[in-house]
Amino acid sequence: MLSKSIREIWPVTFALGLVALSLEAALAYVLPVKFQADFADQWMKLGFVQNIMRIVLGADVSGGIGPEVMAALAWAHPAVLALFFAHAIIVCTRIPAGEIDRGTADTLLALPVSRWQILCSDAAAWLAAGVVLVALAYGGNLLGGSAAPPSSRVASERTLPVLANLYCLYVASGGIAYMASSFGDRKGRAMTGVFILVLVSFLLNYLSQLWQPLERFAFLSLLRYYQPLTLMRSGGWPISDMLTLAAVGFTAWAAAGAVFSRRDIATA
Amino acid sequence: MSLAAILLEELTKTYGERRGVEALSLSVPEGCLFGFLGPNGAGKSTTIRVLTAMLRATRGRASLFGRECWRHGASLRREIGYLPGDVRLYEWMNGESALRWLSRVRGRDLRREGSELAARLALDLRTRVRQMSRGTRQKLGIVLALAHHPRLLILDEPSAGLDPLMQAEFRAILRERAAAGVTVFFSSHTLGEVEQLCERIAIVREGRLVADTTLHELRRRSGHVVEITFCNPSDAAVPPPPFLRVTSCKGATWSGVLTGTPDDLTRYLAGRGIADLSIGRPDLETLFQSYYAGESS
Repeated sequence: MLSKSIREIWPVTFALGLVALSLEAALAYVLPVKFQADFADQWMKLGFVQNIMRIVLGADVSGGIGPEVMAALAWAHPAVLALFFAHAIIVCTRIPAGEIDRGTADTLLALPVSRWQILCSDAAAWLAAGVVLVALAYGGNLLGGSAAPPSSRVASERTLPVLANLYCLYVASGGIAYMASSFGDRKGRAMTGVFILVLVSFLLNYLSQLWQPLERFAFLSLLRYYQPLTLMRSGGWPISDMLTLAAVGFTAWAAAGAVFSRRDIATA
Repeated sequence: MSLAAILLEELTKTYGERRGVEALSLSVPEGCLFGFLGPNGAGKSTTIRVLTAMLRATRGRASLFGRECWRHGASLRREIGYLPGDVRLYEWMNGESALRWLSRVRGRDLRREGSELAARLALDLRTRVRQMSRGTRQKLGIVLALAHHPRLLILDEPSAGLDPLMQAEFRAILRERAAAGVTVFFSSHTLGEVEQLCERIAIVREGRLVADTTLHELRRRSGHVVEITFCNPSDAAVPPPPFLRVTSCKGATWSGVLTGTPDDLTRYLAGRGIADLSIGRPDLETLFQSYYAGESS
Protein backbone atom coordinates (compact mmCIF):
# COMPACT_ATOMS: atom_id res chain seq x y z
CA MET A 1 0.00 0.00 0.00
CA LEU A 2 2.86 2.33 0.87
CA SER A 3 4.44 1.92 -2.56
CA LYS A 4 1.15 2.83 -4.24
CA SER A 5 0.83 5.98 -2.13
CA ILE A 6 4.43 6.96 -2.83
CA ARG A 7 3.92 6.35 -6.54
CA GLU A 8 0.91 8.66 -6.51
CA ILE A 9 2.42 11.36 -4.33
CA TRP A 10 5.88 11.73 -5.79
CA PRO A 11 5.02 13.65 -8.99
CA VAL A 12 3.24 16.43 -7.11
CA THR A 13 5.91 16.38 -4.38
CA PHE A 14 8.66 16.61 -6.97
CA ALA A 15 6.92 19.39 -8.89
CA LEU A 16 5.98 21.50 -5.86
CA GLY A 17 9.33 20.69 -4.24
CA LEU A 18 11.16 22.15 -7.23
CA VAL A 19 8.97 25.24 -7.08
CA ALA A 20 9.65 25.53 -3.33
CA LEU A 21 13.36 25.12 -3.95
CA SER A 22 13.40 27.81 -6.61
CA LEU A 23 11.21 30.16 -4.62
CA GLU A 24 13.28 29.81 -1.46
CA ALA A 25 16.50 30.22 -3.43
CA ALA A 26 15.14 33.40 -4.97
CA LEU A 27 13.84 34.77 -1.68
CA ALA A 28 17.02 33.89 0.23
CA TYR A 29 19.06 35.76 -2.33
CA VAL A 30 16.82 38.62 -3.37
CA LEU A 31 15.46 39.69 0.01
CA PRO A 32 18.80 40.50 1.71
CA VAL A 33 20.61 41.66 -1.42
CA LYS A 34 17.94 43.74 -3.08
CA PHE A 35 15.49 44.70 -0.37
CA GLN A 36 17.13 44.73 3.05
CA ALA A 37 18.73 48.12 2.59
CA ASP A 38 15.59 49.61 1.06
CA PHE A 39 13.48 48.19 3.86
CA ALA A 40 15.77 49.54 6.53
CA ASP A 41 16.33 52.96 4.93
CA GLN A 42 13.00 53.84 3.39
CA TRP A 43 10.06 51.48 3.64
CA MET A 44 10.14 50.90 7.36
CA LYS A 45 9.67 54.61 7.90
CA LEU A 46 6.17 54.20 6.51
CA GLY A 47 3.70 53.15 9.18
CA PHE A 48 1.59 50.90 6.94
CA VAL A 49 4.66 48.97 5.74
CA GLN A 50 5.61 48.37 9.37
CA ASN A 51 2.09 47.08 9.93
CA ILE A 52 2.24 44.77 6.94
CA MET A 53 5.58 43.38 8.05
CA ARG A 54 4.25 42.87 11.56
CA ILE A 55 1.21 41.08 10.16
CA VAL A 56 3.20 38.85 7.81
CA LEU A 57 5.88 38.00 10.34
CA GLY A 58 3.73 37.99 13.45
CA ALA A 59 6.17 40.14 15.41
CA ASP A 60 7.16 43.79 15.75
CA VAL A 61 9.87 44.88 13.32
CA SER A 62 10.07 48.56 14.22
CA GLY A 63 13.38 47.91 15.98
CA GLY A 64 15.14 47.51 12.66
CA ILE A 65 15.57 45.19 9.73
CA GLY A 66 18.32 42.68 10.27
CA PRO A 67 19.22 39.42 8.53
CA GLU A 68 16.76 37.54 10.80
CA VAL A 69 13.83 39.59 9.50
CA MET A 70 14.76 38.88 5.89
CA ALA A 71 15.33 35.20 6.65
CA ALA A 72 11.99 35.00 8.47
CA LEU A 73 10.27 36.72 5.54
CA ALA A 74 11.57 33.98 3.25
CA TRP A 75 9.77 31.40 5.40
CA ALA A 76 6.62 33.41 6.06
CA HIS A 77 6.09 34.55 2.50
CA PRO A 78 2.50 33.82 1.41
CA ALA A 79 3.73 32.07 -1.73
CA VAL A 80 5.82 29.66 0.33
CA LEU A 81 2.98 28.96 2.72
CA ALA A 82 0.59 28.51 -0.21
CA LEU A 83 2.92 25.88 -1.68
CA PHE A 84 2.95 23.87 1.52
CA PHE A 85 -0.81 24.19 1.98
CA ALA A 86 -1.39 23.24 -1.67
CA HIS A 87 0.72 20.11 -1.33
CA ALA A 88 -1.06 19.05 1.86
CA ILE A 89 -4.48 19.69 0.33
CA ILE A 90 -3.74 17.88 -2.93
CA VAL A 91 -2.17 14.85 -1.25
CA CYS A 92 -4.46 14.45 1.73
CA THR A 93 -7.78 14.68 -0.08
CA ARG A 94 -6.94 11.61 -2.20
CA ILE A 95 -8.29 9.12 0.33
CA PRO A 96 -11.14 8.48 0.33
CA ALA A 97 -12.72 11.35 -1.65
CA GLY A 98 -10.19 11.24 -4.49
CA GLU A 99 -10.44 7.47 -4.82
CA ILE A 100 -14.23 7.57 -4.91
CA ASP A 101 -14.21 10.48 -7.32
CA ARG A 102 -12.04 8.75 -9.91
CA GLY A 103 -13.73 5.40 -9.34
CA THR A 104 -10.69 3.52 -8.03
CA ALA A 105 -12.13 3.07 -4.53
CA ASP A 106 -13.61 -0.27 -5.59
CA THR A 107 -10.21 -1.55 -6.62
CA LEU A 108 -8.55 -0.25 -3.47
CA LEU A 109 -11.19 -1.50 -1.05
CA ALA A 110 -11.31 -4.94 -2.65
CA LEU A 111 -7.82 -5.58 -1.29
CA PRO A 112 -7.37 -7.63 1.87
CA VAL A 113 -6.41 -4.68 4.03
CA SER A 114 -8.42 -2.66 6.49
CA ARG A 115 -9.35 0.94 5.85
CA TRP A 116 -7.13 1.98 8.74
CA GLN A 117 -4.20 0.22 7.07
CA ILE A 118 -4.91 2.11 3.86
CA LEU A 119 -5.03 5.41 5.71
CA CYS A 120 -1.91 4.68 7.76
CA SER A 121 0.11 3.75 4.67
CA ASP A 122 -1.07 6.87 2.92
CA ALA A 123 -0.28 9.05 5.92
CA ALA A 124 3.23 7.58 6.12
CA ALA A 125 3.82 8.51 2.48
CA TRP A 126 2.35 11.96 3.05
CA LEU A 127 4.50 12.66 6.12
CA ALA A 128 7.59 11.51 4.23
CA ALA A 129 6.65 13.72 1.30
CA GLY A 130 6.37 16.64 3.71
CA VAL A 131 9.94 16.05 4.86
CA VAL A 132 11.09 16.01 1.23
CA LEU A 133 9.24 19.24 0.56
CA VAL A 134 10.74 20.98 3.58
CA ALA A 135 14.18 19.62 2.70
CA LEU A 136 13.93 20.89 -0.88
CA ALA A 137 12.75 24.29 0.33
CA TYR A 138 15.65 24.41 2.80
CA GLY A 139 18.03 23.34 0.05
CA GLY A 140 16.81 26.26 -2.02
CA ASN A 141 17.23 28.57 0.93
CA LEU A 142 20.82 27.44 1.44
CA LEU A 143 21.50 27.76 -2.27
CA GLY A 144 20.13 31.30 -2.47
CA GLY A 145 21.80 32.25 0.80
CA SER A 146 25.19 31.03 -0.43
CA ALA A 147 25.03 33.59 -3.22
CA ALA A 148 24.18 36.38 -0.79
CA PRO A 149 26.80 38.23 1.31
CA PRO A 150 27.86 36.24 4.43
CA SER A 151 26.70 39.08 6.68
CA SER A 152 23.09 38.51 5.59
CA ARG A 153 23.07 34.81 6.40
CA VAL A 154 21.41 33.35 9.46
CA ALA A 155 22.91 30.41 11.33
CA SER A 156 21.26 27.07 10.56
CA GLU A 157 20.53 26.55 14.29
CA ARG A 158 18.08 29.42 13.96
CA THR A 159 16.51 28.11 10.79
CA LEU A 160 15.91 24.52 11.89
CA PRO A 161 13.24 25.39 14.49
CA VAL A 162 11.42 27.37 11.77
CA LEU A 163 11.55 24.36 9.46
CA ALA A 164 10.22 22.08 12.19
CA ASN A 165 7.46 24.57 12.92
CA LEU A 166 6.63 24.82 9.22
CA TYR A 167 6.48 21.03 8.99
CA CYS A 168 4.03 20.94 11.90
CA LEU A 169 1.92 23.56 10.14
CA TYR A 170 1.96 21.31 7.08
CA VAL A 171 0.92 18.33 9.24
CA ALA A 172 -1.98 20.26 10.74
CA SER A 173 -3.30 21.35 7.35
CA GLY A 174 -2.89 17.83 5.96
CA GLY A 175 -4.78 16.30 8.87
CA ILE A 176 -7.63 18.72 8.28
CA ALA A 177 -7.59 17.84 4.58
CA TYR A 178 -7.86 14.13 5.43
CA MET A 179 -10.84 14.91 7.62
CA ALA A 180 -12.61 16.92 4.92
CA SER A 181 -11.91 14.12 2.46
CA SER A 182 -13.27 11.44 4.77
CA PHE A 183 -16.74 12.95 4.68
CA GLY A 184 -16.99 13.45 0.94
CA ASP A 185 -17.12 11.66 -2.36
CA ARG A 186 -15.63 14.48 -4.44
CA LYS A 187 -12.00 15.51 -4.26
CA GLY A 188 -12.75 18.93 -5.69
CA ARG A 189 -15.27 19.69 -2.98
CA ALA A 190 -12.96 18.47 -0.24
CA MET A 191 -10.12 20.60 -1.61
CA THR A 192 -12.33 23.65 -1.82
CA GLY A 193 -13.50 23.12 1.75
CA VAL A 194 -9.97 22.91 3.12
CA PHE A 195 -8.82 25.81 0.96
CA ILE A 196 -11.56 27.99 2.43
CA LEU A 197 -10.61 26.88 5.92
CA VAL A 198 -6.96 27.70 5.32
CA LEU A 199 -7.90 31.05 3.82
CA VAL A 200 -10.07 31.90 6.81
CA SER A 201 -7.23 30.83 9.09
CA PHE A 202 -4.86 33.06 7.12
CA LEU A 203 -7.19 36.05 7.28
CA LEU A 204 -8.03 35.51 10.92
CA ASN A 205 -4.37 35.57 11.85
CA TYR A 206 -3.71 38.73 9.86
CA LEU A 207 -6.87 40.63 10.71
CA SER A 208 -6.68 39.81 14.41
CA GLN A 209 -3.50 41.89 14.51
CA LEU A 210 -5.32 44.83 13.03
CA TRP A 211 -8.71 44.59 14.66
CA GLN A 212 -8.86 44.09 18.40
CA PRO A 213 -12.23 42.23 18.65
CA LEU A 214 -10.84 39.43 16.48
CA GLU A 215 -7.88 38.92 18.80
CA ARG A 216 -9.83 36.56 21.07
CA PHE A 217 -10.45 34.21 18.10
CA ALA A 218 -6.89 34.30 16.87
CA PHE A 219 -6.06 31.06 18.69
CA LEU A 220 -8.24 29.31 16.11
CA SER A 221 -5.87 30.21 13.31
CA LEU A 222 -3.20 27.67 12.41
CA LEU A 223 -0.81 30.48 11.53
CA ARG A 224 -0.98 31.73 15.09
CA TYR A 225 1.29 28.80 15.91
CA TYR A 226 3.84 29.58 13.23
CA GLN A 227 6.07 32.54 14.14
CA PRO A 228 9.28 32.42 12.10
CA LEU A 229 10.60 35.82 13.13
CA THR A 230 10.25 35.12 16.84
CA LEU A 231 12.08 31.85 16.31
CA MET A 232 14.81 33.45 14.20
CA ARG A 233 15.40 36.02 16.88
CA SER A 234 15.31 33.70 19.86
CA GLY A 235 16.80 30.59 18.26
CA GLY A 236 14.57 28.51 20.52
CA TRP A 237 12.36 25.59 19.64
CA PRO A 238 8.63 26.38 19.61
CA ILE A 239 7.69 23.19 21.42
CA SER A 240 4.24 24.33 22.49
CA ASP A 241 3.31 25.66 19.03
CA MET A 242 4.64 22.52 17.37
CA LEU A 243 2.72 20.28 19.74
CA THR A 244 -0.44 22.28 19.18
CA LEU A 245 -0.14 21.98 15.39
CA ALA A 246 0.81 18.32 15.56
CA ALA A 247 -2.13 17.63 17.87
CA VAL A 248 -4.51 19.39 15.48
CA GLY A 249 -3.12 17.37 12.59
CA PHE A 250 -3.20 14.07 14.42
CA THR A 251 -6.68 14.62 15.88
CA ALA A 252 -8.09 15.58 12.50
CA TRP A 253 -6.37 12.60 10.85
CA ALA A 254 -7.64 10.22 13.54
CA ALA A 255 -11.15 11.63 13.11
CA ALA A 256 -10.78 11.05 9.37
CA GLY A 257 -9.81 7.45 10.07
CA ALA A 258 -12.78 6.95 12.37
CA VAL A 259 -15.16 8.33 9.73
CA PHE A 260 -13.53 6.48 6.84
CA SER A 261 -13.52 3.14 8.65
CA ARG A 262 -17.24 3.40 9.39
CA ARG A 263 -18.70 5.08 6.35
CA ASP A 264 -20.35 3.60 3.31
CA ILE A 265 -18.36 3.77 0.12
CA ALA A 266 -20.71 4.12 -2.79
CA THR A 267 -19.71 4.80 -6.34
CA ALA A 268 -19.54 8.48 -7.13
CA MET B 1 -23.16 -29.85 6.36
CA SER B 2 -21.19 -27.50 4.14
CA LEU B 3 -21.20 -23.84 5.01
CA ALA B 4 -23.00 -21.42 2.71
CA ALA B 5 -20.50 -19.35 0.77
CA ILE B 6 -22.92 -16.44 0.88
CA LEU B 7 -25.70 -16.02 3.36
CA LEU B 8 -28.01 -13.02 3.41
CA GLU B 9 -30.53 -12.86 6.21
CA GLU B 10 -33.23 -10.20 5.94
CA LEU B 11 -30.62 -7.86 4.52
CA THR B 12 -31.82 -4.30 4.24
CA LYS B 13 -29.79 -1.37 3.01
CA THR B 14 -31.23 2.11 2.69
CA TYR B 15 -29.57 5.35 1.67
CA GLY B 16 -31.50 7.83 3.77
CA GLU B 17 -34.98 7.71 2.31
CA ARG B 18 -33.83 5.80 -0.74
CA ARG B 19 -34.16 2.04 -0.93
CA GLY B 20 -31.21 -0.15 -1.75
CA VAL B 21 -32.41 -3.63 -0.88
CA GLU B 22 -35.22 -4.71 1.40
CA ALA B 23 -35.28 -7.82 3.60
CA LEU B 24 -33.22 -9.87 1.17
CA SER B 25 -32.60 -13.47 2.21
CA LEU B 26 -30.44 -15.71 0.13
CA SER B 27 -28.12 -18.66 0.54
CA VAL B 28 -25.49 -19.58 -2.01
CA PRO B 29 -23.80 -22.93 -1.44
CA GLU B 30 -20.08 -23.39 -1.96
CA GLY B 31 -19.00 -24.34 -5.45
CA CYS B 32 -22.14 -22.95 -7.07
CA LEU B 33 -22.32 -20.82 -10.20
CA PHE B 34 -24.93 -18.35 -9.10
CA GLY B 35 -26.54 -15.67 -11.22
CA PHE B 36 -27.92 -12.61 -9.53
CA LEU B 37 -30.32 -10.93 -11.89
CA GLY B 38 -32.37 -7.83 -12.00
CA PRO B 39 -32.98 -4.69 -14.00
CA ASN B 40 -30.86 -1.61 -13.44
CA GLY B 41 -31.47 -0.11 -9.99
CA ALA B 42 -32.92 -3.35 -8.61
CA GLY B 43 -30.32 -3.60 -5.85
CA LYS B 44 -27.74 -5.97 -7.36
CA SER B 45 -24.75 -3.68 -6.89
CA THR B 46 -25.94 -2.64 -3.42
CA THR B 47 -25.99 -6.30 -2.38
CA ILE B 48 -22.53 -6.85 -3.82
CA ARG B 49 -21.17 -3.77 -2.06
CA VAL B 50 -22.53 -5.05 1.24
CA LEU B 51 -20.85 -8.39 0.58
CA THR B 52 -17.53 -6.69 -0.12
CA ALA B 53 -17.91 -4.51 3.01
CA MET B 54 -18.07 -1.27 1.11
CA LEU B 55 -21.54 -0.68 2.47
CA ARG B 56 -22.79 -1.49 5.93
CA ALA B 57 -26.15 -3.22 6.22
CA THR B 58 -28.89 -1.05 7.69
CA ARG B 59 -30.61 -4.15 9.07
CA GLY B 60 -30.17 -7.87 8.77
CA ARG B 61 -26.97 -9.74 8.19
CA ALA B 62 -24.66 -10.57 5.32
CA SER B 63 -22.00 -13.20 5.80
CA LEU B 64 -19.44 -15.04 3.72
CA PHE B 65 -18.28 -18.48 4.82
CA GLY B 66 -20.01 -17.89 8.13
CA ARG B 67 -18.25 -14.63 8.89
CA GLU B 68 -20.05 -11.30 8.98
CA CYS B 69 -19.00 -9.21 5.99
CA TRP B 70 -18.56 -5.81 7.60
CA ARG B 71 -16.73 -6.99 10.70
CA HIS B 72 -14.40 -9.41 8.93
CA GLY B 73 -14.10 -7.47 5.69
CA ALA B 74 -10.30 -7.34 5.46
CA SER B 75 -9.74 -11.03 6.24
CA LEU B 76 -12.63 -12.11 4.01
CA ARG B 77 -11.19 -10.19 1.10
CA ARG B 78 -8.23 -12.58 1.16
CA GLU B 79 -10.64 -15.24 -0.02
CA ILE B 80 -12.60 -13.10 -2.45
CA GLY B 81 -11.97 -12.01 -5.98
CA TYR B 82 -14.08 -8.96 -6.77
CA LEU B 83 -14.73 -7.39 -10.13
CA PRO B 84 -16.60 -4.08 -9.91
CA GLY B 85 -19.27 -3.14 -12.40
CA ASP B 86 -17.17 -0.34 -13.82
CA VAL B 87 -13.52 -1.31 -13.52
CA ARG B 88 -11.37 1.75 -12.82
CA LEU B 89 -7.70 1.27 -12.23
CA TYR B 90 -4.87 3.64 -11.49
CA GLU B 91 -3.89 5.32 -14.71
CA TRP B 92 -0.17 5.09 -14.05
CA MET B 93 -0.35 1.32 -13.82
CA ASN B 94 -0.02 -1.27 -16.50
CA GLY B 95 -0.93 -4.92 -16.15
CA GLU B 96 2.53 -5.94 -15.01
CA SER B 97 2.83 -3.27 -12.33
CA ALA B 98 -0.73 -3.97 -11.20
CA LEU B 99 0.15 -7.64 -10.71
CA ARG B 100 3.37 -6.72 -8.90
CA TRP B 101 1.41 -4.42 -6.60
CA LEU B 102 -1.26 -7.00 -5.97
CA SER B 103 1.38 -9.64 -5.27
CA ARG B 104 2.88 -7.43 -2.57
CA VAL B 105 -0.50 -6.66 -1.01
CA ARG B 106 -1.69 -10.28 -1.11
CA GLY B 107 1.67 -11.59 0.06
CA ARG B 108 2.36 -14.01 -2.78
CA ASP B 109 3.63 -13.85 -6.31
CA LEU B 110 0.68 -13.67 -8.69
CA ARG B 111 2.61 -12.78 -11.84
CA ARG B 112 2.69 -16.26 -13.36
CA GLU B 113 -1.00 -16.91 -12.78
CA GLY B 114 -1.84 -13.39 -13.92
CA SER B 115 0.19 -13.79 -17.11
CA GLU B 116 -1.58 -17.05 -17.93
CA LEU B 117 -4.99 -15.48 -17.45
CA ALA B 118 -3.92 -12.46 -19.51
CA ALA B 119 -2.79 -14.77 -22.31
CA ARG B 120 -6.15 -16.53 -22.33
CA LEU B 121 -7.94 -13.18 -22.51
CA ALA B 122 -5.54 -11.80 -25.15
CA LEU B 123 -4.49 -9.00 -22.83
CA ASP B 124 -1.17 -7.24 -23.25
CA LEU B 125 0.05 -6.58 -19.72
CA ARG B 126 2.46 -3.90 -20.87
CA THR B 127 -0.28 -1.49 -21.95
CA ARG B 128 -0.81 1.40 -19.60
CA VAL B 129 -4.26 1.70 -18.04
CA ARG B 130 -4.67 5.20 -19.42
CA GLN B 131 -4.33 3.76 -22.93
CA MET B 132 -6.77 0.91 -22.37
CA SER B 133 -10.26 0.68 -23.82
CA ARG B 134 -13.12 -0.26 -21.55
CA GLY B 135 -12.97 -3.87 -22.68
CA THR B 136 -9.24 -4.07 -22.04
CA ARG B 137 -9.68 -2.56 -18.59
CA GLN B 138 -12.36 -5.15 -17.96
CA LYS B 139 -9.93 -7.90 -18.94
CA LEU B 140 -7.31 -6.56 -16.55
CA GLY B 141 -9.97 -6.33 -13.84
CA ILE B 142 -10.78 -9.99 -14.43
CA VAL B 143 -7.11 -10.97 -14.24
CA LEU B 144 -6.68 -9.07 -10.97
CA ALA B 145 -9.84 -10.60 -9.51
CA LEU B 146 -8.91 -14.16 -10.42
CA ALA B 147 -5.13 -14.31 -10.16
CA HIS B 148 -4.96 -15.20 -6.47
CA HIS B 149 -7.33 -18.16 -6.88
CA PRO B 150 -10.03 -16.89 -4.55
CA ARG B 151 -12.52 -19.18 -2.89
CA LEU B 152 -15.35 -16.89 -3.90
CA LEU B 153 -15.68 -14.75 -6.99
CA ILE B 154 -18.03 -11.79 -6.80
CA LEU B 155 -18.49 -10.31 -10.23
CA ASP B 156 -20.64 -7.31 -11.01
CA GLU B 157 -21.71 -7.36 -14.67
CA PRO B 158 -18.48 -9.15 -15.58
CA SER B 159 -18.78 -9.50 -19.32
CA ALA B 160 -19.67 -5.88 -20.01
CA GLY B 161 -17.29 -4.57 -22.63
CA LEU B 162 -15.96 -7.98 -23.66
CA ASP B 163 -16.37 -9.13 -27.23
CA PRO B 164 -18.24 -12.44 -27.81
CA LEU B 165 -15.02 -14.45 -28.20
CA MET B 166 -13.66 -13.16 -24.93
CA GLN B 167 -17.00 -13.67 -23.24
CA ALA B 168 -16.84 -17.33 -24.24
CA GLU B 169 -13.28 -17.63 -22.92
CA PHE B 170 -14.27 -15.91 -19.72
CA ARG B 171 -17.18 -18.28 -19.25
CA ALA B 172 -14.81 -21.20 -19.79
CA ILE B 173 -12.52 -19.84 -17.08
CA LEU B 174 -15.44 -19.48 -14.70
CA ARG B 175 -16.61 -23.02 -15.40
CA GLU B 176 -13.11 -24.33 -14.68
CA ARG B 177 -13.01 -22.43 -11.43
CA ALA B 178 -16.44 -23.67 -10.42
CA ALA B 179 -15.40 -27.23 -11.25
CA ALA B 180 -12.47 -26.74 -8.87
CA GLY B 181 -14.90 -25.79 -6.08
CA VAL B 182 -14.86 -22.00 -6.38
CA THR B 183 -18.17 -20.25 -5.75
CA VAL B 184 -19.05 -17.78 -8.49
CA PHE B 185 -21.61 -15.12 -7.71
CA PHE B 186 -22.27 -12.74 -10.50
CA SER B 187 -24.80 -10.08 -11.23
CA SER B 188 -26.15 -9.42 -14.63
CA HIS B 189 -29.06 -7.97 -16.46
CA THR B 190 -28.23 -9.87 -19.63
CA LEU B 191 -29.78 -13.23 -19.97
CA GLY B 192 -27.39 -14.92 -22.34
CA GLU B 193 -24.53 -15.42 -19.95
CA VAL B 194 -26.84 -16.52 -17.14
CA GLU B 195 -28.39 -19.12 -19.37
CA GLN B 196 -25.03 -20.44 -20.48
CA LEU B 197 -23.36 -20.42 -17.13
CA CYS B 198 -25.58 -20.62 -14.12
CA GLU B 199 -26.93 -23.45 -12.12
CA ARG B 200 -28.97 -21.27 -9.87
CA ILE B 201 -30.33 -17.79 -10.11
CA ALA B 202 -31.95 -15.19 -7.93
CA ILE B 203 -33.93 -12.32 -9.34
CA VAL B 204 -34.28 -9.00 -7.55
CA ARG B 205 -36.71 -6.32 -8.43
CA GLU B 206 -37.10 -3.00 -6.63
CA GLY B 207 -34.79 -4.22 -3.89
CA ARG B 208 -36.71 -7.39 -3.15
CA LEU B 209 -36.05 -10.98 -4.02
CA VAL B 210 -38.69 -12.25 -6.42
CA ALA B 211 -37.15 -15.60 -7.32
CA ASP B 212 -34.43 -17.89 -6.01
CA THR B 213 -34.35 -21.10 -7.95
CA THR B 214 -32.65 -23.20 -10.62
CA LEU B 215 -33.11 -22.38 -14.27
CA HIS B 216 -34.69 -25.78 -14.79
CA GLU B 217 -37.21 -25.21 -12.02
CA LEU B 218 -37.93 -21.74 -13.31
CA ARG B 219 -38.71 -23.10 -16.73
CA ARG B 220 -40.78 -25.92 -15.26
CA ARG B 221 -42.86 -23.56 -13.15
CA SER B 222 -43.43 -21.16 -15.94
CA GLY B 223 -45.85 -23.45 -17.84
CA HIS B 224 -46.06 -23.74 -21.65
CA VAL B 225 -46.68 -21.13 -24.22
CA VAL B 226 -49.39 -22.26 -26.62
CA GLU B 227 -50.91 -20.98 -29.80
CA ILE B 228 -54.03 -22.68 -31.17
CA THR B 229 -55.74 -21.88 -34.45
CA PHE B 230 -59.17 -23.46 -34.77
CA CYS B 231 -60.68 -24.50 -38.08
CA ASN B 232 -63.94 -22.99 -36.96
CA PRO B 233 -63.69 -19.44 -35.55
CA SER B 234 -66.71 -20.08 -33.32
CA ASP B 235 -64.55 -22.50 -31.27
CA ALA B 236 -62.34 -19.57 -30.37
CA ALA B 237 -65.30 -17.47 -29.29
CA VAL B 238 -66.14 -19.60 -26.26
CA PRO B 239 -64.44 -19.10 -22.86
CA PRO B 240 -61.14 -21.01 -22.59
CA PRO B 241 -60.75 -23.90 -20.15
CA PRO B 242 -59.45 -23.06 -16.64
CA PHE B 243 -56.00 -24.58 -17.30
CA LEU B 244 -55.39 -22.24 -20.21
CA ARG B 245 -54.76 -18.55 -19.69
CA VAL B 246 -55.49 -16.87 -23.01
CA THR B 247 -53.61 -13.63 -23.35
CA SER B 248 -54.69 -12.85 -26.91
CA CYS B 249 -57.56 -13.95 -29.11
CA LYS B 250 -57.40 -12.91 -32.75
CA GLY B 251 -60.01 -14.41 -35.07
CA ALA B 252 -59.72 -18.16 -34.74
CA THR B 253 -56.39 -18.04 -32.87
CA TRP B 254 -55.75 -18.22 -29.16
CA SER B 255 -52.37 -17.33 -27.70
CA GLY B 256 -51.68 -17.92 -24.05
CA VAL B 257 -50.06 -19.89 -21.28
CA LEU B 258 -50.93 -23.45 -20.42
CA THR B 259 -51.05 -23.75 -16.64
CA GLY B 260 -52.31 -27.33 -16.72
CA THR B 261 -50.64 -30.33 -18.34
CA PRO B 262 -50.28 -30.97 -22.08
CA ASP B 263 -52.58 -33.93 -21.50
CA ASP B 264 -55.33 -31.57 -20.26
CA LEU B 265 -54.96 -29.60 -23.45
CA THR B 266 -55.03 -32.53 -25.85
CA ARG B 267 -58.16 -33.88 -24.14
CA TYR B 268 -59.82 -30.48 -24.50
CA LEU B 269 -58.87 -30.12 -28.15
CA ALA B 270 -59.95 -33.67 -29.10
CA GLY B 271 -63.02 -33.44 -31.33
CA ARG B 272 -62.43 -29.82 -32.26
CA GLY B 273 -61.02 -28.96 -35.65
CA ILE B 274 -57.46 -27.62 -35.26
CA ALA B 275 -55.86 -25.77 -38.14
CA ASP B 276 -52.56 -25.18 -36.34
CA LEU B 277 -51.09 -25.86 -32.91
CA SER B 278 -47.81 -24.92 -31.28
CA ILE B 279 -46.73 -25.61 -27.73
CA GLY B 280 -43.43 -24.97 -26.04
CA ARG B 281 -41.57 -23.50 -23.08
CA PRO B 282 -41.42 -19.72 -22.93
CA ASP B 283 -38.06 -18.29 -23.86
CA LEU B 284 -36.13 -17.03 -20.89
CA GLU B 285 -36.17 -13.48 -22.09
CA THR B 286 -39.95 -13.42 -21.81
CA LEU B 287 -39.75 -15.14 -18.47
CA PHE B 288 -37.31 -12.67 -17.02
CA GLN B 289 -39.14 -9.73 -18.41
CA SER B 290 -42.26 -10.91 -16.64
CA TYR B 291 -40.27 -11.14 -13.39
CA TYR B 292 -38.71 -7.77 -13.94
CA ALA B 293 -42.08 -6.25 -14.59
CA GLY B 294 -43.60 -8.02 -11.59
CA GLU B 295 -46.16 -9.89 -13.58
CA SER B 296 -44.93 -13.40 -12.98
CA SER B 297 -47.12 -15.88 -11.22
